[in-house]
Amino acid sequence: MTTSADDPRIAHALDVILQLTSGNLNARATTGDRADEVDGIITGINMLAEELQNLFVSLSTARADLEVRVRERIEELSQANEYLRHELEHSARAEAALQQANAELQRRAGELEQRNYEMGALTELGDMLQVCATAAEAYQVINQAARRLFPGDSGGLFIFSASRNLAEAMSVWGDAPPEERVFEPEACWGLRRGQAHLELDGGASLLCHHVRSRNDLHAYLCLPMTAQNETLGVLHLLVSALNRAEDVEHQLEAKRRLAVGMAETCALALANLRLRDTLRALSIRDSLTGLFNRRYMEETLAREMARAVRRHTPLSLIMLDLDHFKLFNDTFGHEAGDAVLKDLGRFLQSEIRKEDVACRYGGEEFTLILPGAPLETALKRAENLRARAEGLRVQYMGQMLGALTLSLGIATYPEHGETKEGLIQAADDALYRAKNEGRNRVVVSARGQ
Amino acid sequence: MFNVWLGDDGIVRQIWAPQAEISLAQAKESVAAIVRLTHGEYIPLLVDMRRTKFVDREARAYYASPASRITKAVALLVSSPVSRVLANFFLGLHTPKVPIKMFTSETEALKWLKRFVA
Repeated sequence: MTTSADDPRIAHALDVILQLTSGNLNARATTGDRADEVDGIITGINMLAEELQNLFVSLSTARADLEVRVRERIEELSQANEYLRHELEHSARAEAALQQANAELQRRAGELEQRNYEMGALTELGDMLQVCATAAEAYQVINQAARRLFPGDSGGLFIFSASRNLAEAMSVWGDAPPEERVFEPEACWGLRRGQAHLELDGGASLLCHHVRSRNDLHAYLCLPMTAQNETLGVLHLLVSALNRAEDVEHQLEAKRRLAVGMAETCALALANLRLRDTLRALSIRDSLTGLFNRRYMEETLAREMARAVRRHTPLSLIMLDLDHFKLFNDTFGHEAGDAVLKDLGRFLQSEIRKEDVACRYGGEEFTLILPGAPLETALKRAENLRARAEGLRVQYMGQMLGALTLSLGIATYPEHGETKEGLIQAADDALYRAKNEGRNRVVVSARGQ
Repeated sequence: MFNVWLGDDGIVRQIWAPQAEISLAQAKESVAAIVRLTHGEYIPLLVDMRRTKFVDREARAYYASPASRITKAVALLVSSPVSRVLANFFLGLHTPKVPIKMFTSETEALKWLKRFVA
């Protein structure tokens, strides 16, 4: 009897199992024709081996697929991550750039707003200065503008004296205005260099001599004011209002820019005022004697008459004529005659009160308007003039031209005339009488008597 | 290799020849034969594999695939240890989509299949 242990199929099956377990999944056992338990075992082993082999292939394939997928997924994730990182960086850069641009925009908008304000203020200053009738008015306007444009700072407007050897403070402003109110042009670096001079406190090497260092002074500016090729003076700004927490240079530059604009505006306006004064002087002054001319006399007399009527005050008019002037001209020539007229002009100007107005009426004829003077006063003044004129000695080219005498006619409002024309006519009539009665005398108008 | 016919009881019978070794081609042929017989109607099937020697893996995979789903239920008739092993693979490793059961008694198998006859 053959036992299972003796069955060679068992050994064969065992051998196949050993091969399978050692990794050879191709190993298969051969079955017999008996379809008995051993064949069943072998068939099962073979089928399990097939399934195992197939499973192994499937697993290998799946694993390979999975690895590919994982690699692809990792690659995708890596790319996505890279893209995201790039986007984040780009976004961060864009945001930073945007913030920077926004800050820059805000700063520029602020600057623009400030510039607009400054331009507006300077335009307003220019407009105000244009309608100023006198330099004093202009100085007042400049003072107000400086306080508004440079709040917290101090300063002064220095204008050259007529001799141009001194700069005098015409207007000062602020809590700590300049201590030196008059200085020589050489004391100012700005004037010496002919350009804006900005000095931080502590820069002693270039500190102007007219500036004294102070604890509250951060910096100062000296801006020469030049217009129509002439330096009129200097705008001096003492900077106390600076925010140390912010860009000091930027603040100083802003103040310098504004101060330059202000200095230019002021210089132009003051030069125009001077020009206007010069033209006006030319239009109302007699060029030979320096006295007011006839047109001005008539305007002034009309104004003073109106005031006298309004105030019920007297007003006197003296007309005077240089005796024998024709003889001077004929004897010594016209230039000598002009010298006499010039001296007489100086004489009259020196003899009158501040409120009186001396005019050259024409030729050798002069008028004196005496506002508020009654006839009695006018008569005394006229007589005094006549007497003092006798003492005048005119020299021309080293030659004495002889004694001067004056004939004077007086008319007083309201006694001798109530209109300008009437008063002039009355004074002229009196003068005519003085001439006719022998010259070198004073005659009061006979009108109304 | 096999015989197949439709019984009066409305059950298809398929009997494999002794020592049959079923390959993929034969598996496909067996399914085609049943379809021809039933004209595509789903009918219970009795498979006599008592003397079958071997069913290779491709054939087994084919039987488990949707392409071979042509019946309402399958009864596997076995006797030898080999046939039981083969049948077990159908029942275990390749999960059937229709009711399938292994029998050693033809009577019991037919009795079970009759439950699925329309």
